[in-house]
Amino acid sequence: MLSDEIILLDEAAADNQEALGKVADQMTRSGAVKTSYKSAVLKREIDFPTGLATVNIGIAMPHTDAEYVNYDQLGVLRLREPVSFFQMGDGERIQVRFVFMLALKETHAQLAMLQKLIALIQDKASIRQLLLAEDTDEIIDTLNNVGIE
Amino acid sequence: MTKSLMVVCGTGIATSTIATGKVKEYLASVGKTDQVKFLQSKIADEVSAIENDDYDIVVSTTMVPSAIKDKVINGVSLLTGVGTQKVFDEIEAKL
Repeated sequence: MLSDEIILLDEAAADNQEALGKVADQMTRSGAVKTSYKSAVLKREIDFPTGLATVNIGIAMPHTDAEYVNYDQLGVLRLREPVSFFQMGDGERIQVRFVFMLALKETHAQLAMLQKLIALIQDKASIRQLLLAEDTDEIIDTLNNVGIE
Repeated sequence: MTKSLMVVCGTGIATSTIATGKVKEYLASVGKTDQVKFLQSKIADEVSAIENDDYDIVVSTTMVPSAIKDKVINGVSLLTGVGTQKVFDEIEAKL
């Protein structure tokens, strides 16, 4: 999931569409997704928001249909300042610091990885490590430590 | 009798998979897995089926049209970890 090392640290974004665009651009460049992925994932975020307010932090988990994906990949964006997203399910406005963009080639696949990601965002110590990480290697180490590879 | 439990999200790819996993885990812990048949889909494909009461229980991790809102259990807690037990209680009440 992390083979392309798409980790963007302390980027600024005026709004959630710009934030998502930055990650999607990297995933397109690396070849993980098709050029059509970016507009699909941006539109999907408007129709079906992916923000999640955990006890610890606001995150977003954008993704879209498998047809836009070449191979499984996880893109991570840490925002310099929180950006406003809408929450999945109830549409409430929440402030997001981390974006975990998913490119999934198969429907219903990667359950184990997704469960680890969800466990990660609910874990205070891991979130702290992600917030304090000084470079991409530290982010990858933290993800590896919880079994996301 | 086995009840059908449909888990829907925006794409039918990611969050419904997680939510299904969480519900399965919980039902296993209370010994009720065999009472439920699990189904997964994207909301856009299921609105009319939900309207027609095709499923006994529906859990959603995404926003649903207001017409079917009362028939759907909001499953976002399964992802955030905030208020998870309430979702499990709502599901168990329908078994």
